[in-house]
Amino acid sequence: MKRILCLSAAAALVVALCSCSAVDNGKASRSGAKTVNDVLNEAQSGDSGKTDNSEGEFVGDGEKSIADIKCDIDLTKMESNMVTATVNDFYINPENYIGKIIKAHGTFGVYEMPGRNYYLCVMTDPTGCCSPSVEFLLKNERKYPGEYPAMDTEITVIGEFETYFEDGKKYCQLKDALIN
Amino acid sequence: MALIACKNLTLGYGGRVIVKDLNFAVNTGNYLCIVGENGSGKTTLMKTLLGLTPAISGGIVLGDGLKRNEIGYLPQQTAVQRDFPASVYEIVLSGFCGKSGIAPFYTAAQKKEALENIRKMGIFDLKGRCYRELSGGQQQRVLLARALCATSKLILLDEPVSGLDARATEGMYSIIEKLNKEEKITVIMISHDISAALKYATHILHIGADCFFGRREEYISLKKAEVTDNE
Amino acid sequence: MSEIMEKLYFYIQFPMVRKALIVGVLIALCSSLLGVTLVLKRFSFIGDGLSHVAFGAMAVAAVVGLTNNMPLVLAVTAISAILLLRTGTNTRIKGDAAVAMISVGALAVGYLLMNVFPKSGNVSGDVCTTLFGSTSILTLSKKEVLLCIILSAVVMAVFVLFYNKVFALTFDEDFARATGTRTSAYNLLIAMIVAAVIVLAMNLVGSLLISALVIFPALSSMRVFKTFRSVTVCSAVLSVICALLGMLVSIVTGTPVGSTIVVVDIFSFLIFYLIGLLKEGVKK
Repeated sequence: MKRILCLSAAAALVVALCSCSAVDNGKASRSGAKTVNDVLNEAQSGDSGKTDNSEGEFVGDGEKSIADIKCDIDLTKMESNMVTATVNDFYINPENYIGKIIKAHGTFGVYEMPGRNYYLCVMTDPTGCCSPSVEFLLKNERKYPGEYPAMDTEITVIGEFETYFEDGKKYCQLKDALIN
Repeated sequence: MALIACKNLTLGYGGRVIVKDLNFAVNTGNYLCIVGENGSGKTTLMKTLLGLTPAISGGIVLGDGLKRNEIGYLPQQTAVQRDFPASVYEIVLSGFCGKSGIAPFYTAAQKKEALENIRKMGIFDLKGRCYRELSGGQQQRVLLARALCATSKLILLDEPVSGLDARATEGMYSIIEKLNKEEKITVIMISHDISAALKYATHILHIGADCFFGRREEYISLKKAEVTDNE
Repeated sequence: MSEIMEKLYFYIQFPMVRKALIVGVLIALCSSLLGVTLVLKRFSFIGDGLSHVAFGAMAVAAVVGLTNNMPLVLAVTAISAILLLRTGTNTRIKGDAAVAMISVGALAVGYLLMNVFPKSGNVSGDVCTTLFGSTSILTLSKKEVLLCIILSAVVMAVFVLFYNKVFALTFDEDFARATGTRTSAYNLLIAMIVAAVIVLAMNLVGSLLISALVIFPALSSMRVFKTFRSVTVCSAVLSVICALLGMLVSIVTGTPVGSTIVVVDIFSFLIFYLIGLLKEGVKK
């Protein structure tokens, strides 16, 4: 009985110590979050006009906004496991996806190679473990870097799945893509 | 012809020699008690007889039509076994493991014999009970029933009463005696208990600095002579 | 609730999800069957040790450039299993030290090789996936699925056919050997089966969590059931239920597959532990 009491007291002490530090951290992160939110708000308000223009610019005159376009596979609505699995499946069973309209949300990335650039939508999973990414080719030719979003900006991309060959290897990309 | 005999057996393990040039023979129906100091090599001898440890030199001869898989064994229990989740019936039935070869299932005859052996050990009402819930004495009876499943000719017991209380010890000895006298099963038993050895055994094997093998009466008179010599 | 059912229904349409569920269930079944023997022989950590060896083998395969790494990984893991599971008092280095040495050594060497000779851009991602199995079960190729199914069938067949031998060897190997059973041959068989199951299970829960898959169902069943057969059956059923539940929850909520399964296993252990306590209390 005495042993149980001692063990319970020790456990309670440990829990109390942990929760103290957690509360402190919570406070810090909340105040930290405020600061980050502030920065984001500033950025958004600063860029809001630009974003509208960019949206108009990328989608093109007379074209619908991305939200209106019907897609076959909507990666934006899936959990991270399934996103990673589906993107992987693009490479394992590409024939199942050819012609399908795919929508994805992530950050903008680019591979600059001599000859051509590869534009990517990178979807990072919360644990940082996997970063499935999807290549896309814009419908309307644009010049890089000026007419593309900045690196690591959040983008949503929608396009038609196709495969292409390069140096004897098969790759996948979304063609006729639209982003915002 | 002897059921099991040792010819110039030298025992040991890890390169160390423990017993040199051991010679003895056990005939059908004998009750041999192996006695000696701790570490004198009793368990090593038993393991060598069973083929678990190779002998350094010399040989073990099986006679009277005895085959390797017809020898029963009651080893000392490990802590893992005392706490094992299995029913008495499952454990006793596993005694037929060596006899079933590659066959995946035990035959109906084997299952019947297992139940019979459980009954012989006086633990029939425990056959569905979990092994780890039994007392030390009951567990030893279960293991003895298992050993019987493996043999009807020769049984080797390694300190079968160690850790048991007086009543369980008495019960164990009387069962073993019954097996020897009524079922004609040859018994080779390691024991720390000299008095019990002298009470039940027909032959004694003493392992130590000087080894002795002979009938119980010879051993008793030898010990008496030693005592008189010392006085 | 209906939202969860809708999501589930939506995801079940994906063939990769159906494949994952089937393979996951088979892996959970095989691991739990072996788990009973391994736990009772006090080899609970063999899963960990062997999976780290498999990790090292995978790293070597990646460096060398093998497209199909399964044969090499299986072979290396099988050899290690045979070495580690060799029961015998004449081993110079005792069981647990041997497991630790080989396991940690393989992990370190594997990680070193993967960093010195990186074959893909995302080394930490690869390592993370292999160690924790985040989505590997969802990204199996047809070949891998087939291999998993075949290996699982073999493991289950061996277990059913040699159930009595496995029991005898687990309870008392000395007795089995003394009474004429060829224990070394069966130990070899068990070692190879263990290696196969470990390599398969890495796809489901990753290296670091394999031990959980092997030991939790066995430990849970042993709290409540009293015969070896009932412990084995309960262990298998429990493992399958926990794996299924864990996979479904992780797919629907986006949590890592391996950890979710293990958490479900932990909960079931607690439940069984309580049931065991209650049973004992009632008896008294």
